[in-house]
Amino acid sequence: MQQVVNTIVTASVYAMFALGFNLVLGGLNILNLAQGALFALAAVVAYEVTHGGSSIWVGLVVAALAAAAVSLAINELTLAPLRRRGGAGFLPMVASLGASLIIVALLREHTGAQVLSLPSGALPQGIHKIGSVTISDTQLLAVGAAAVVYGVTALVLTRSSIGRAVRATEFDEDAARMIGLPTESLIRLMFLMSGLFAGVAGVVTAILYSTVSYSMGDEFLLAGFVVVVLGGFGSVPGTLLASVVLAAIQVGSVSAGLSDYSNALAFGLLIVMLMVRPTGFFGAPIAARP
Amino acid sequence: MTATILMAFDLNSWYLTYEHLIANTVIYSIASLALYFSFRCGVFNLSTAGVMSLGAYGTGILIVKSGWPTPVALLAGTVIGTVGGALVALPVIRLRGHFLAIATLGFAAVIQELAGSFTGLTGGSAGLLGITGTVGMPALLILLAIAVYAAFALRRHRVGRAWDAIRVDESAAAAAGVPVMQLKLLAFVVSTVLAALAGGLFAVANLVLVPQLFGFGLLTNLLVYTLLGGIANPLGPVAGASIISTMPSWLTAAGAYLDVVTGVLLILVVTYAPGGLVQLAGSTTRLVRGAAGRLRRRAPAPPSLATAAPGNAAAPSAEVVVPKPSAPPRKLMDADVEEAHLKIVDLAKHYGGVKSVDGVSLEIRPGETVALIGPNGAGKTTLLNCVSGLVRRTSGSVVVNGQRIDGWSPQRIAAEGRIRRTFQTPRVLPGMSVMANVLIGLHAEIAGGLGSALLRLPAGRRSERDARARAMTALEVVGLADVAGAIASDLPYGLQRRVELARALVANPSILLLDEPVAGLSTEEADALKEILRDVVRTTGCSVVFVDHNMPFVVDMADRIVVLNFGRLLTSGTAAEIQAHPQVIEAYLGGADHGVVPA
Repeated sequence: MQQVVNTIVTASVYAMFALGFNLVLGGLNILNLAQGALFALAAVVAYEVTHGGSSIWVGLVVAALAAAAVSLAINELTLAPLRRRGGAGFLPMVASLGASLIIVALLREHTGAQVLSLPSGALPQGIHKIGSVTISDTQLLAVGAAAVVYGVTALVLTRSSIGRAVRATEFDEDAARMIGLPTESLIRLMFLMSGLFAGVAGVVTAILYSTVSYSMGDEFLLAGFVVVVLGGFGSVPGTLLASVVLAAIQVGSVSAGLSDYSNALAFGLLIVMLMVRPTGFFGAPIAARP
Repeated sequence: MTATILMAFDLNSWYLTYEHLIANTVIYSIASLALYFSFRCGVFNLSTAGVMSLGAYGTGILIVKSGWPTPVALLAGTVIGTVGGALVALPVIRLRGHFLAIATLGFAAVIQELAGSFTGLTGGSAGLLGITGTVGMPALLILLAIAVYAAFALRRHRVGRAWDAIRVDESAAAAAGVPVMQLKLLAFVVSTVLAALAGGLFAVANLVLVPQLFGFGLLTNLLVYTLLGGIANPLGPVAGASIISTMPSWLTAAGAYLDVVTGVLLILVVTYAPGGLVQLAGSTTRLVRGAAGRLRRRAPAPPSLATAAPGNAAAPSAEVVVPKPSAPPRKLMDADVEEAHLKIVDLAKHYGGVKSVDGVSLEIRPGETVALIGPNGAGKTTLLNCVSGLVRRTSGSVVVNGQRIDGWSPQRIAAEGRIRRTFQTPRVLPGMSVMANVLIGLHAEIAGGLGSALLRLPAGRRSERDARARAMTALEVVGLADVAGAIASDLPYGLQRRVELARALVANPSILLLDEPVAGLSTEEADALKEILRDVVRTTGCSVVFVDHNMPFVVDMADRIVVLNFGRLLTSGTAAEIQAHPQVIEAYLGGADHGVVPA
């Protein structure tokens, strides 16, 4: 049972991180490699805010907003000019890699390349025991945050005209472009959401493992890759399900004493999935996509 | 005198100070060329850092743990890296776009992690220590020279030309008979060998290996070197590596913020100079001269990673004089066209619930010219796509001279099946010359592979010469001989159609499939094209199946007209029969939902 709890908690973090990643990939066809840097950025901001004496809740909100702001800035400063000049294909991905390099370098200098930790006094300390299962407040926080993130996304995607536009873009990019989608404001919304989610995931990770480092996002990029391939580009339920699968593999391999190979296992799964069903669990068949 | 001695002394001490830096620059240049070969073919392979890691650890471990001599270990390390890279490539090479990028990036991340985990073998993050041996500067420079030479030799060769074609328009290349997968795999293998070699050299030149050396940072740096230099010219990546990898020594002011400088450069390059420095240097002169031309708003094909043009030929002026439809040579080619009898049996193509083509049977006799007409959405283009293999049919069969070709790949249908096609909107290969566009149509018939390109074997060169002569004949037929050296995508629309036609004709096809050959052409242009086509049919005897909405053209050209509606065959007959057919009139005029009346 404890394994189930651990799986759900780990899955929550993956799911939040990968969701923004996947929305940008599915909706805008951009593999945004700066997502990991935003994740680390938020953790470092939360570190600064909480060490300044504010509560972790303030830290969470400020950090997530900071990540969202930087995500928007990346779009405005690098990707939007690129789009205006007709750069497509892999160029946006390479530009996002450049942005990632800049952010990570600045974080490294800011933190002195040290591994930091959030002040333990600022963190929720409660531990609940239900039978043999232990659940901490921080774990509840992780799951709760993921629930909020997915709730918000579901609302935005199903209940608003923005959501229709996103889904139209995902369904048929060319047709969507012909009727004027995705518009710049839609693109901004996607980057706002993905930055916000990466930020929340970063702070939650910092709380869960009580460590903050400039390079903590790198490890999550691979997880993000696995999740989008398993779940299917742009698929929200797919992202959720794939996060659970990936987390189960990780938790399972740790308890089997194979923690060194958990990422290799996950990558093997990615390759197999690409061979058997490159569209992911819920993705549209390739033939139906332009 | 004294000054000379002093300078020599200075040079010597300068060399000793920077020897290590230069060695690593050479190694990074080789690794950047690894990326060059992938990108040149449009394969966005990002496994280079991972393969370098395999090559480096393979070499290092064989020296440290097995005591192998350096050259042997280097060779073995290169093989290990290549095999490892190929194991990842094989399952994913067919995937396009971001799938390939994700898989190869993931590979690099996993290799880095495994290097950290297998501490017994690799020393983990404490490092693999005790690598001995050296690789001299002459050896390094010779290896780099070989890599650069190979890149130049291939660029002039049919392999390099086909790589360019695949990069700019994969399906047009396939439809012209280029074996896409085979050539992508070749690019991948060349790229992987170079990356593995660079890794092995890195191990020997640096003597200590830690997993962190081969992470995202290395990949990013290699991308900066390659993209900053640009892939238009093999010297681009070398220049990029030379400038950027030595930056710590000459841009000391950046200090710890070198990565910030690198990141900014990367963003600026992809945004404002996606062709890289080499192309930027070339286009500066062009920019000055072509200022007037730019005003005419003839936007060049967006040069990007995927379409960076081999930028050696200068762009011609946007306004090319439309060649007069001069009397083309009476006979197109010396070779006789093989007669072909095309039989389409019960062919269907369904997209989900949409039955684009729904059980069409059709027979085209040798030398016959058949027009496919019908309202928009009748399935005409889909039918051509099924026959040329670009679209997999749902059911039914396509038979040429008794042989079923419906399961074949587009390139096999083009090369072996001798069926060539043009597209509804002309698909010239952007950034490539008119001559290169036409030569692509002969790719399958030109002799010589990798070895022939590197050794410049006479047989291959003769074959290329013959092909150029044939391509010139085809260009004469379509009236484009004068613009053979121009960039095809810079030509006016009407002439682009002729380039495409020449690409199809040059291979002496038995069956020519033309998708709206005169759409968008003026009456004069259409008449000129009609004369060309008639001449081709008369002199070569090939069969033609074409789709068009231009009724005078259809009536003039076709021996027989076939009418499709809702994916089904409505009727077929001569122009007079069709014009009087009540159901045809109904299909064109009757339905409120598709009221397209042909002119």
